[in-house]
Amino acid sequence: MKEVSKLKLIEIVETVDGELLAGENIENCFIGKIYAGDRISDLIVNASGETLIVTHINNISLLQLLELFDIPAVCLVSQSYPDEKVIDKVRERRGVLFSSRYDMFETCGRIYKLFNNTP
Amino acid sequence: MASGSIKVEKGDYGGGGRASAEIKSVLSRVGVSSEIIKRAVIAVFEAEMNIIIHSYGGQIIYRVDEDTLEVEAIDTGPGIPNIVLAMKEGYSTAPPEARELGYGAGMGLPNIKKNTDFFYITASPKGTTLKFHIRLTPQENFEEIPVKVIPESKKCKHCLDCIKECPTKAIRLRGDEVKILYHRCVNCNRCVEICPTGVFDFLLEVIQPHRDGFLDSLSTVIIPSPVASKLYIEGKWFPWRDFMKEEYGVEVVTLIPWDRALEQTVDEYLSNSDLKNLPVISPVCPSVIQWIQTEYPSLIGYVAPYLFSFIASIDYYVRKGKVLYVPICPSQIATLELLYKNSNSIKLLHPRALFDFIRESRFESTRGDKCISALESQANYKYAISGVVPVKKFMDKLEKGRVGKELKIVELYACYGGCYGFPFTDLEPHYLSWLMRSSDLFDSTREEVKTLFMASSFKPRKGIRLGFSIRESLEKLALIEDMSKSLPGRDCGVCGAPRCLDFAEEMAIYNASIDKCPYIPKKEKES
Repeated sequence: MKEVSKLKLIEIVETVDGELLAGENIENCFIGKIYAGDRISDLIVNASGETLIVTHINNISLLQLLELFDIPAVCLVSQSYPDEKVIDKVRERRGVLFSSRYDMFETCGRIYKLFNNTP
Repeated sequence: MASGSIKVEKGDYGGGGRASAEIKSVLSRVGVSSEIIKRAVIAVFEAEMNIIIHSYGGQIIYRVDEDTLEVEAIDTGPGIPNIVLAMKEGYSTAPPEARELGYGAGMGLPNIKKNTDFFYITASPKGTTLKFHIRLTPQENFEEIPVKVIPESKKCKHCLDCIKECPTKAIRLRGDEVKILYHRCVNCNRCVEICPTGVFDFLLEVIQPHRDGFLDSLSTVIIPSPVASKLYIEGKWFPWRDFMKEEYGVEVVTLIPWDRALEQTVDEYLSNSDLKNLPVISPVCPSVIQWIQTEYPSLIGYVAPYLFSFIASIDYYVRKGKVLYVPICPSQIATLELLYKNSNSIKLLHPRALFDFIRESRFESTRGDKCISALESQANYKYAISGVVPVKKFMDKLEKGRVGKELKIVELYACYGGCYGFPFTDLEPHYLSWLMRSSDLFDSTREEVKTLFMASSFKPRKGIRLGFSIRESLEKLALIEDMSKSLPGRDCGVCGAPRCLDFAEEMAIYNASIDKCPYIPKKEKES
């Protein structure tokens, strides 16, 4: 988990060559925290209302997480795509969902580099 | 007050989160802070997923009142074979399909523990029940122990016995008023027992059960073992039990099987985990536990993580209907208040009222013949210590590491002779307990008898703050030290405080007058 001072979401999407699956007005979206993990128990403890989560989980479990823990943004890795239902849910909640072109290691590395260079 | 129950199906991964969502929406409508809502949602979600992944189905029941969220997650098997292991972070028995979805991290129960204020588990092959509380208003003193002893000052003849005898030095005599210090009292029976004029009593109304409609709409009366055995020895147990069944349709049960279940569970606990702290202190006496929380916080880790047998029993019978319990010490009343503060299904009856009731009903004695079958041999790794003085000596030694590792389990009781020495009996407690241990009267092999695993641990009790700010506290501390130097150090107790140091504290905090000290000459007092 990394605390960052308000990071522009669009910059993160660009740095991982992300494909935007859901999300409007992404230019005005900021997030305060990033957490990467694949275990639901870790995600629910560490995610909050301003967290971007980076994960492999692209199934119904993700749906519950979004619903219950007010997670504003999700980055899937390795160009994976979720179920249509998940995308609908994110749209409905006005959240942001995108799929990174890279694997977990590369994705996290790029994001890490990005905010470490941000003054 | 809001409540509800949500059904949870086995393997219904997509439907998971419904209970948490409902509880979340209730809490946010009540206006609970988002931090606490998150704690609640995490705990309920984990409990819900546990039912979906591991059980044959079950339900989540919740209750919200102004300061607590109470949640019960009940399922129908196959249970948790080893709870101690299941509580370990990273230990999981989740099937592959659950792991594929991101579950099975082995963090479920630990996550619930971290996010709740009180949490216990009971598991058998027939099912598992998780019960937890979350305080909705963040209060640091959740573990504050209620004091359930009340003094009646006008009976006091100033013999000062209680002041000296109180194991935690919690009693003061201020003028004619007997005062119990609420941050020190551990609800043992010592003052009730030794006071020659009966100043101290349980903080529990003495009512007449048959006249005040107390027995109506009850389903079970739970009688603690020592009360049951006293009635048994006096030949009143059987006729009274039958009378209650016929007259009120109430079942009378004893705690004996539950006591034995706890004993067994603690034995098993010893065998299955890598225990660092030995001997294990068996949680038999709530007063000793409260004492540990108050004066020996370093010993908290020695206490076996199970709930008292009377709680396990009440927890079981309350599912069947209203329960009447006869508490035998103030610490039981205090524990019940902490756990079942808002429950209407539990009523308490003062033991004195029970004995009066039975005496009035004039049962004919039918003394049991087959009282003694065999004297149970105590295993040699186990030991019971009773009475506040021996228990205090033992805990002092244990704290200093002067207790050998060969002793595996120790049962500490604040009352002399264990619970059998509760204040409302005239029988010699060791005799009574010996008779009961060797009697085969009480069936201990009933299936429903379980032990509750206490997943959240006891927390040290907060001490009193001397002043409103740290600065004021420090000033008062210096004042106490200063004043204690001017006192003779004889600890005579005449001033109404047990030791000179306590009297210095009385002077610094409660403005007691130095005139009360008999050893300081008048001239000096004036200066």
